[in-house]
Amino acid sequence: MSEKQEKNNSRRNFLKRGFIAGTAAVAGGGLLSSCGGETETGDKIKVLTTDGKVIEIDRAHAKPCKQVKVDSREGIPGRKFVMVMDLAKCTNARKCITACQEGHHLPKEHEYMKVYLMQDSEKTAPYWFPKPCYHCDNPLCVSVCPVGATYKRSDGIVLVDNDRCIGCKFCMTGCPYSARIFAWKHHEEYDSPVQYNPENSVPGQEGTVSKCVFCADRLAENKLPYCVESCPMGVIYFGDVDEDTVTNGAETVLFSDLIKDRSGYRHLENLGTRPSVYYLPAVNRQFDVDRGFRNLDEEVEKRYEKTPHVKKQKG
Amino acid sequence: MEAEHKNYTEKIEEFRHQIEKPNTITWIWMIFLVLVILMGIFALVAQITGGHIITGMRDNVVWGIYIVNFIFFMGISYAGALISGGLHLFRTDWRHPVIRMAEAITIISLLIGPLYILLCIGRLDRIPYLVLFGRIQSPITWDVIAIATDIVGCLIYLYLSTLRDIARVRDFKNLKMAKWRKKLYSFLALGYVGTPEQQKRLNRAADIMAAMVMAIAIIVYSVLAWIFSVTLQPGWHSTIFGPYFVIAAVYSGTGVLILAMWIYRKLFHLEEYITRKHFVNVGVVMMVLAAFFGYFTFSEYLTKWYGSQKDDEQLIAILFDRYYWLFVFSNYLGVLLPLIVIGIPALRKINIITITAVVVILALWVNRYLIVVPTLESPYLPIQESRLDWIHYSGTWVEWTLTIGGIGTFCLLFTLFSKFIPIVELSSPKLPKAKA
Amino acid sequence: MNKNKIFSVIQLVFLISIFLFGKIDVGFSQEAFPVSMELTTWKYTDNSRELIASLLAENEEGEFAPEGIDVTFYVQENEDKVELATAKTNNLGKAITSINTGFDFPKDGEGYIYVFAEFEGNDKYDMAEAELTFKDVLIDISFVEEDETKFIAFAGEILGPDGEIFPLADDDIYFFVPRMFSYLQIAEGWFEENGEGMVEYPTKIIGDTLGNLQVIARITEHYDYGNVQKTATIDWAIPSHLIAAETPSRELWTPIAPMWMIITLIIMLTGVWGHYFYAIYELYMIRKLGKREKKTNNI
Repeated sequence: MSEKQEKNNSRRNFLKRGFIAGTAAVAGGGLLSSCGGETETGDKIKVLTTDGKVIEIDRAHAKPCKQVKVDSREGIPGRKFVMVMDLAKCTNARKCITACQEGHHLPKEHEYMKVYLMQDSEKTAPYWFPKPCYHCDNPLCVSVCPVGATYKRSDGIVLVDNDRCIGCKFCMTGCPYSARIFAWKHHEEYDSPVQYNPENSVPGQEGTVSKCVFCADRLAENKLPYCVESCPMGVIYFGDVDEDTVTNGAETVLFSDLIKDRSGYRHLENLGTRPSVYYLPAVNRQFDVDRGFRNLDEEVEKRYEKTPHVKKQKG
Repeated sequence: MEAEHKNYTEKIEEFRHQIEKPNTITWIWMIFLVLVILMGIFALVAQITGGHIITGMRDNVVWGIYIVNFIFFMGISYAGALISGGLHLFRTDWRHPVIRMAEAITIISLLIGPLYILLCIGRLDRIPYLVLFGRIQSPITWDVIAIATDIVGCLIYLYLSTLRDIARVRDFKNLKMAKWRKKLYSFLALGYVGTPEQQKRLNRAADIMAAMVMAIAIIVYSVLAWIFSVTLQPGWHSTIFGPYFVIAAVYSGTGVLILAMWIYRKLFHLEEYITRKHFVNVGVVMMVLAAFFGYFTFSEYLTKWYGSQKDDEQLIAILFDRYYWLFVFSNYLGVLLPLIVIGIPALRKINIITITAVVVILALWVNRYLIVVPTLESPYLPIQESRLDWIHYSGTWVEWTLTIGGIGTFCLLFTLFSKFIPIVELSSPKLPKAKA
Repeated sequence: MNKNKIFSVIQLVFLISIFLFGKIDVGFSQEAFPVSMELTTWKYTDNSRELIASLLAENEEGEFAPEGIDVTFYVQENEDKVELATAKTNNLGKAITSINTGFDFPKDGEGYIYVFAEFEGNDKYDMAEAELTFKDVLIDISFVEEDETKFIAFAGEILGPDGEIFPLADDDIYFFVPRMFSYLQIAEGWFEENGEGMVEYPTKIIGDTLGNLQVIARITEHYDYGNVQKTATIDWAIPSHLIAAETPSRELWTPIAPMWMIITLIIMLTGVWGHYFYAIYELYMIRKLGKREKKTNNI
């Protein structure tokens, strides 16, 4: 199949799904704000809703809306997602952080992806450590949620349903990787009229917990997450472990080969959380760790002041 | 039946002013407490409108003073349950003056504790989800079920143990109180007149509930401890948290009980009923618990420090750096003081014991604080932040005001309770008239 | 002032006003954006060929892809430029025209085909053109198994002038499989002198649930052949497993709790609340007895 034909096919499928889902969503009633808004033509057409009913709606409402997944608790069938971070290439460019914040309409102080300056012990070398949510296979955060607001899907992604979260923050104490953030106050980004979807956690809600979602809404459209696409160094690889393939946008490699050749590992493996994010050790680094301090905001630079590396440099 | 009644009429006479219409001082006291509670409500409204950002909690230390207060109040509640249940089941001689106070402490702090959890919850409008969507695997669901069970159990037990005295008050003519109150006593007395059949049933039910309340107290407080110990956080992930919390709870409860005894003794001149012997007896319980508490605490920190696992090391570094004096106060003074005071006979004076009790209460509140907060300040992934309030936790005026509001509520409810029923258990087969 | 001078002044004023008006974007006499064009070609499995003209326009902010531009494609036949087709650029700035299988491209003596793409230019965009020379090739892939080792065999032919066929020799060919976000390269081959070659098939590649795998062979951006692609399917891949389970397992983090938890909870709750109901029953009996007592006393 040619590239063009494949593109056409996926576009056709997308439109078809989007059409049905869009009209179903309109029929569902709650989503009129996000599609159409046109004046009625008086011309009726028949459409099929997601629960199998045939209804008539005005032709003006039948617009393909952004695809709304019917149930965000169901994973993309046949997939199991995994991420690999190549620590040898990370230079704290922080494009992953800004791209993620833009894509999810996050306030500037909320970071789903964080970059740490880690140093495992006194004599080992420091390295930059990007850390999203690990979407663990044994997620303690999911186990302790009293209302089931956070859940793990069949495709491995752990999501938070901000319509159900009561804000008890037990999941935040349960996560050993500090992956979750809490909305302590109302942010103006939360006033967006967009229909809430747990798969991209937009818009956020005050008093609830949110975190990296592996851009589940983009994955449903076969697009890579924002962080993967935006990294200038190609640090982040993403893919389906059942296909044994990961890509960083430019390079596509076999996951098992990558882990074997570069000795991939998971962070704090002994905790038994079984994360879905692997790290490749910072061997044969492309750049010195100090390159990560270039062009940093003053506020960001201040964060690393107390790290052993910076303290040693200051003498 | 008649004989039982007659013996205690004079006792009721002594206590009548306690439960009759409140006098001026009591009114002033209650109004003062209402003002304190209003201050708390003001802080609550500020928090609801301003968002949780006005508390000191941030993304790392997500649980602060509210949770400490929750653990503290639940702790003294279970202490009350264990003490009153134990005293009842063992038919201890000297229990009558103190057992009702213990029961009152139990039920009142059981009502206040969960309020602090509600303060910590981000979306109060979704509280019903805890029941509608409750997940059995979550320790918080266990806690919800446990606390609900406990409240019902303690209410039943309280009712059973006050039933006799309610009947006494009902039968007492010429009490200066509102008509509706008299009717209330009538209704609540359930037609109890002290027949042998009724007594048998009452005793049986009370014995069973006393045992239940003790068992439930232990289980429920362990569930609370497990909320912390099932997580992986260093400092929380300890196998002995269940028993540790239970012991610490009963310990703090004895402190509150002694304080309540001292206050009521002074206020209502109950020197005849609450004697030095009572203080010493409860004090001995406190001392024994101090020893157990010290043992558990020492065991906790010794294993952490000796093994010096990296995460434990980080936690201990924070404890002995930022929280050094608090740690010494709570875990040294709080343990040694009761041992010394009760251990040395010459020091077993009422006032000294009471001062020790106050120190114990404070020490245990600090102990809970040192369990909750430093652990959250030393997570596995280092906190690399520029904002100071995100690195270290410090409670804001909202949290402290609500803490005081909670204490005020506790005092108010206690006052109202003592206005309802004599604070000393008057009726039972034998009531020894003690010598001072 | 004489007539000539007045006329010059009027012309000058006219030119200045045009210049000024032009700057104020009235619509006419606006500067057109410069456009660059690249021409590439793709040959596909069904032997159809695509000609792709990629346009890039430049404005003050940088480069962008112009949409809706008409591009005309020509092929050189002897001395003439014969029009092949026209196409409009899409939102990526690419004008794509597909030539059917079996179309006989006019070739020169060495077998080269010359194609041109032209854009005449309009008010908004400058004119642009590009040309491309390539040879028409056919590649074929098949799967063979020798001595229990699996191979992908491939062969290439260059279609020369007058129907002659030459072997496609001494060149690279790459093999890909389609994955969720991109294509994974699984092997690399070399055309031998006879235009054929073999490369070992990597057995650890995972296919669909039945073990089918779509293998795409490609020669990319060759100076003589353009881009050539051939796809074939084989069932040698390791079958992937379906994840969805019939019944959800009962773990700590699943919607349904482990059985032992539910049982323990039920036992404990019935035990405790059973005692409560007993105590309440006793209280009820006390009340009943009290009523009876009251009655007997009143009598």
